[in-house]
Amino acid sequence: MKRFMKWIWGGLVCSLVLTAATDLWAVPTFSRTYKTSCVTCHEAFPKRNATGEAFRMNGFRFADDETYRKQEPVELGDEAYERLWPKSVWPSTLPSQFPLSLITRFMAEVDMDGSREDGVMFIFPEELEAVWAGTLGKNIGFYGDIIFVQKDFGGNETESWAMLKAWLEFESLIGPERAVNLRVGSVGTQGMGLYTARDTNSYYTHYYLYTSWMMPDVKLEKSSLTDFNGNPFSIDAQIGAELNGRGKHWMYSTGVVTGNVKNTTDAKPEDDIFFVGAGDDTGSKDVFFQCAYKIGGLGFDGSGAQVENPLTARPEFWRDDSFIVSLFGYNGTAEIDIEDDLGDTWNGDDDFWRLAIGFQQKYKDLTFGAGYMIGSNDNPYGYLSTESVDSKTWFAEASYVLYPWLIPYGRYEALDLDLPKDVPGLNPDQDSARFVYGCKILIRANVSLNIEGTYYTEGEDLDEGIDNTLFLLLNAAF
Amino acid sequence: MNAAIRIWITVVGAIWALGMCVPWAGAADFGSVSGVIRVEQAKVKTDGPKSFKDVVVYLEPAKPGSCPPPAARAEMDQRGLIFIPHVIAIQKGATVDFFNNDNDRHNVYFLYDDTGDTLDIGTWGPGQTVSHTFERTGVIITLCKLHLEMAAYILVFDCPYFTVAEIDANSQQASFKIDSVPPGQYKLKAWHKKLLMKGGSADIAVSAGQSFQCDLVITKKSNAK
Repeated sequence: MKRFMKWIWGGLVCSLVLTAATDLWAVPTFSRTYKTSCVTCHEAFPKRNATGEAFRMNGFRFADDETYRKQEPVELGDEAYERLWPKSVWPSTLPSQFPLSLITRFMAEVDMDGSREDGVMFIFPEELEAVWAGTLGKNIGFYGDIIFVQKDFGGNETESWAMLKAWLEFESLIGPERAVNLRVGSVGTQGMGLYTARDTNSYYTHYYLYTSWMMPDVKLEKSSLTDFNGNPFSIDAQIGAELNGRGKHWMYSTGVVTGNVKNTTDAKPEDDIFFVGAGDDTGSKDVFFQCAYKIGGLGFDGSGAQVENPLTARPEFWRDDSFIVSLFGYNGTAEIDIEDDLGDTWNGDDDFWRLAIGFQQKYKDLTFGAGYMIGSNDNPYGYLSTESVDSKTWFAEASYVLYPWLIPYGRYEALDLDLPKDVPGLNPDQDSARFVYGCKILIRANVSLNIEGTYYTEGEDLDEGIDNTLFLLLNAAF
Repeated sequence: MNAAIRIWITVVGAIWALGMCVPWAGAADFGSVSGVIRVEQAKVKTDGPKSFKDVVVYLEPAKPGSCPPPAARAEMDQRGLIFIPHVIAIQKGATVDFFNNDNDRHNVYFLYDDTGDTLDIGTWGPGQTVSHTFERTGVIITLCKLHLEMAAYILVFDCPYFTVAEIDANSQQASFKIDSVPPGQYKLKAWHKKLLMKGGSADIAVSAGQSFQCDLVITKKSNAK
C-alpha cells in the first residue's frame, strides 16, 4: 500500500500543475427546469455533449421544449394576444423560479520545488460563480454570471476580485429558425476562438495557449520607461454585439467588440469588480468571426438523432461520432501608451489580426483535435520598435472516456513570437511549448475533480508561477 | 304515468335485472378479487414523473399450473425524458413496444431487481420503436443509459392475474379489482417501489362467479411484518 501511494504521489509530483481558469459554463438551473441529469447535456461538466451544444445553440431550449420542461414558466400574456393585437405589447414568460445556479471551486496548490515559503497552499474557495440563464418567451434568451475569484500568482498571497458577464439574445430575427440571432452584452463567451477549442467547453482547467497568450510587456525596471500599456488582447469574451446562428451542419458567430480590454486576469486586475472584456473606447471597434462545419453526429440544431440499427447501436451520452472543422478570425486595434522617465508620453495604435483553423474528430470514446493560429501586430511596441510582430500558435489534443467518470486528457501546444530584439526591457525570446495533461474525475454528475499538470519543453522560465506546482481542483455545481 | 314512461321503465328494469342477477355466459366460471389498498404510517407522493402512486396487486396460484397465454401487447413511451407509464405489469411472454417520442436518442436497459442481471435492448432515435418480449418473471428496473434520471418498472408475472392501482393523493388509498380469476387458492400480494405489503401476502380462495373482497395495507419496511 505504501509503495502504491508512493507511486501515486510520485506520479502527481512529476507533473501536475494547474492554472486557475474561470467560467465553468455548467448551468444546474437547467437540471431543475427539466428535471434531468447533468449528463443529458454534458460529457463531464462543463464540457458539453452534442445534445448540450444543440440546447445552447437553440437558445437554452430543447427542440419541442414544452415536452421536456417540468417547471412551467410564468406567462406574461397568452400567445394568442400577439396574434390578435400584433401592434400591442407582445407576451413573454418568466422562469417560474429565479434561474440561479452556483458553482464552487476549491483548489490546493502543492509546491514541488521548494520555491515558495508555504509548501501547500489551500485556496478555499478558489472561485464562487453565480450563474443565471434562461429564456424570456419563445425568442429571447439571457445569461449572466458573477464570479468571485481568489487567485494565486505564484506567491504565498492570493488576490481577490469579482467579474461579471451578461448578455441578452434576440433569436430567429430573419430566415429559418435560429439562423440569425442578435446578442448584446458580453459577447464571444462561446464565439471567441475556434469552435472546436473553447476554454469554456473543455475538460481542461488550463486555458489554451492560443487563446490566453498576450503580447509580452516591456519590463519597466529594465528600460527607461515609467509606464507601458501594451496590447491587452487575448481571446476572451468582450463587450459588444454579435450575430450568430446555426443550421444542421453549420454554425457561425460574428461580432463587433470594444477591444482595448481594461482588466486582464493574467495578473491582478486593475479593478476589484469589473465586467469581463470591458475596454477603453478608442473610437475604433474590433471584429471577430467564428464558423464551423460538422459532418456526422448530431446536428448543431439537434437533428439527426436517428439510429440505423437500434439493436446494435451502442451510443453513450458522451459519444457523437463526427468531424468538425472550424475557423476563427479577429481584427482589432489596440491603443499603446508609453511614458518615459523624462515624463514624455507617446500614444499610438497597434493594428493586429488573428486567423485560426481547427478541427475535432470524435470516434466512440476518443476525441482528437488540433488547431493552428497565425497573427500579426503591426506596431505593438510603439515608437520603441518599428518592427511588426508575427505570431504562430498551434496545439494538438486528445481525450478518452476510460469510464464515464474517468477521462484522461492531454494537449501539446506551442507559441512562436517573432519579437523585436531592439526594445529595451523586452525579452525577445518568449517562445513557449508545453504539455498539459490531466484527468477529469466525475465524483458525482455535478461534482468533479481535476488533476492537471504542465510540462514545459520551452519557455519554462516564463511561467514560474505555475512551474513545478501541483494543483488539485474540486468543482461542484448546484 | 303515461305509456311511454311505463315502457321505458320496463325495458330499463329488465336490462338491470339481467345484468345483476344473471351471470353472463362464461363469467360464472371465474371469480374476481377486489379491495382497497391503504397506506399506513407513510405518505405516498403521487405527483411527478416518477411518483410513488402505483401499486401492483397480483395473485400467485397456490398450486402452479398452466396459465392462459398473454392476451395483449403493452406499451411504454419515452417522452419528455420520462418513461410513460412509470410502472407496468405484464404476463410472461408478453411483448412491450418501447416508443421514442422525443427528439433525442433513447436507450432501454433492464436491470433485474432480484438477480442483478442486465440487458441492453438498444438505442434508437426519434419516432422509432423497438419491441421486446419478456420471458422471465420478476421486477425489472428499466433505465436509459443516455439519461441518468429516467427510470421505470416492469413487473412480469407468470399468470395474468394482476392490476396496477393508483393511490389517491388525499385519501392515500387505492381501489383495485382483478377480474377473470379461475377458482382456486391464491396468495394475494402487492408490490410498491418503496413500501411493502403488511404481512407480506394474504391467502385467499376464489370461487366461481363471486367477488372476493380483501383490503391491503402497504407500509414502511419496519412496519410491514
